[in-house]
Amino acid sequence: MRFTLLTAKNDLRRRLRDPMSLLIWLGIPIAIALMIQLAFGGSGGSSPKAKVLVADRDESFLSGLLLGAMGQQQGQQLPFEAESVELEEGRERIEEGDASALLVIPEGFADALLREEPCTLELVTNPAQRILPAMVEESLTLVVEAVFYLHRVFGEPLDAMLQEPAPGANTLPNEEVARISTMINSIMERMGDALFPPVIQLSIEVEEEEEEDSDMGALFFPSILFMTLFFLAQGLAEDIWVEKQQGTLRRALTTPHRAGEFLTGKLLAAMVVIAAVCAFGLVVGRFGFGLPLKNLPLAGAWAAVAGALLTSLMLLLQLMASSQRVASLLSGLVMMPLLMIGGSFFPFEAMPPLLVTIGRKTPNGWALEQLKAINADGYDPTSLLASFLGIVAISGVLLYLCTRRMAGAFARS
Amino acid sequence: MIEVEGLRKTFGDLVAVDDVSFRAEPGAIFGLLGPNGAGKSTTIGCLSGLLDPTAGSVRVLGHDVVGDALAARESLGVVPQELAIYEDLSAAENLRFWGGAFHLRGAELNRRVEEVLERVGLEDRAKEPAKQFSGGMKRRLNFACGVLHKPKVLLLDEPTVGVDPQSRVRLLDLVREEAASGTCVLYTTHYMEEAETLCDRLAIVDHGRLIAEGTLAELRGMLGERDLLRLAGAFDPDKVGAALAGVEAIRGDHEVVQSDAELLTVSVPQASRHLPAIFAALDATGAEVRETTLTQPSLETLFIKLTGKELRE
Repeated sequence: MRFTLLTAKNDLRRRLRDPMSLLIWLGIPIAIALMIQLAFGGSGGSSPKAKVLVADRDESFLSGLLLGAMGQQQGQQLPFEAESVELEEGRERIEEGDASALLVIPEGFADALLREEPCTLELVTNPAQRILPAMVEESLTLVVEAVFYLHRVFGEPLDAMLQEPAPGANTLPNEEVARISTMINSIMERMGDALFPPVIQLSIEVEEEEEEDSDMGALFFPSILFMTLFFLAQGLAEDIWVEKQQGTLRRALTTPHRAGEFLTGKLLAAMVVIAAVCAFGLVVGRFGFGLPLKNLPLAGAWAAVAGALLTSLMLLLQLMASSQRVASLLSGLVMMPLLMIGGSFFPFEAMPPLLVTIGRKTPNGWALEQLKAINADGYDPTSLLASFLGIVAISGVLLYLCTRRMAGAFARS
Repeated sequence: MIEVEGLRKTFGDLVAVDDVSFRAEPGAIFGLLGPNGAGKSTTIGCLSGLLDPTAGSVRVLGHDVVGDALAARESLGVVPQELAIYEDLSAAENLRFWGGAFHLRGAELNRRVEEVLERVGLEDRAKEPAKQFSGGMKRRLNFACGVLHKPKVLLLDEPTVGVDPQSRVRLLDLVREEAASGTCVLYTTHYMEEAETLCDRLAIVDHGRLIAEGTLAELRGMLGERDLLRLAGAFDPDKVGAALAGVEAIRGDHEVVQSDAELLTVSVPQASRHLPAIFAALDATGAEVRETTLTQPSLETLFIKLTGKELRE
């Protein structure tokens, strides 16, 4: 045990003698997250909005109502901004790619609606864009449905309001206005029980919660952290070739200690480095990218243990290879697919369901999901403890295989 | 002490060590002399526990290196042929780590580190990273790592390869000091001079087999105190044997080791006294001598006698 600690201390001392490597390892998650942040347009800004041009050829009360509905939603739920234009201007601007869509409200829109006749709204979308026009289409469907239901409820008074005034008069007579008002009031009274139920009260309790500035960086950050863990594991595992080439491995094997003690010491040192990089990465993720982070020590410990598992795996691959070049190829062949499918290159949220199912079963994918659960305070302690023990057991088996290989053919070749 | 009995080590079809037996005593330097590829490093590998013998047994202070490996290694100090130091650590840090691996700690470890650094002449460079050292300094640090814990058995595998003359002299002195302090030293080399000046007892190995063993005097005795006379030029091999047999002064007391059209090698006692008679006899056969080399009895001549080739070939 003392030799194990001695080896771990010695390895850590060697790491500190190479500060550039440490800085590079610390910088990997931040650099990649920053690149992604830049690629996706920065953090914390407003959501992207589509520009919709509206050509109102009906210019009726109801078409105005539709335009108003769109206008009132600006800055709230609807992901677009409406702008009134003439039809020709609208078509020209769509061709120039100046907007995401052009909505044409045809002549006779109001009459058709009131007479319950078929009516078509024309939506011309920008072919150069895919996502924003689709969002506009979805949102407009909601607005049109709202206008339809408005007509179903207030159809009669609306019809009366749209009647032409008597010849020689500019407005409806007072009696008619009073009649329409009484009609609307009567409808509101009839629907009062449904619209304003006095018995039921909705109590809304808002749990005090830190405002999460979740953005693309935060979405990608856990994945990036695991990508870093993989690179780190590979880098640390490659140190066994340094030990071999500088002869210290053979000397270590002539000391009165078992080979496993030496290797365990190296793995312990690797875990300390991994824990430090992870803790640093998680703190940067929290304060720099809005990563949800509830249990920093637990998350750091989990990442370190998961890192030990990955290091053991990478170490076994290094020891299986006949040369350092073959070892690099071999570990690359294993690492890259695991990174891609295990949610480290692309987050699971952006992957097809089938790949997500497979990816969550990879060692890194499984560990990544656990880390996210810990960060979000959504983990089951019993299950997590079992996972911890499982990782320790698997790492132990891998370490045993590594020791056999190292003390055998690897050290002697 | 080291006891090796019928040691055999194979790698597939290659027999690296074949039925080697010897015994090295405390306070003495036992040399394993042989050309590159003779099996010296493989023997050291088996002794240090890095390689498992295919057959035979190796015991260090009575502990079998396979069955009782950890106890055997407690007494071992190894100075491998290749450097075995952490280049990015300082000399003192290297020594502290390897000393700790052999249970040295605290004040005792510090004292030993200082002592050994002084012995190998690195006390002024103790805090510098080893990567800044010259080749000779690295060799001395490599040696220091092997002797720091005062091992009872010291294995040295060609420790002077690639070392400058000054560092070599210093290293050889250090080896003598280790033996003088009672350590059992096993020293492998392919340098004749080193073996002759350093070792109390020697084993000559070639192609994995031990072909001669004894003290330097015993090995020289195998040559019968004969000089080795090597002549280069033009000779008639069919006439040379009879011509030399006709030289009365050496008749019955010489041996033609090698004879061809360009080279003649003769083992003969006190060759310098008989050179005129030998040259006259060869001249009578029409031979032309262009170069003459006279070698007094040595391990080199013994090796040539035993294997028919030079050690460096």
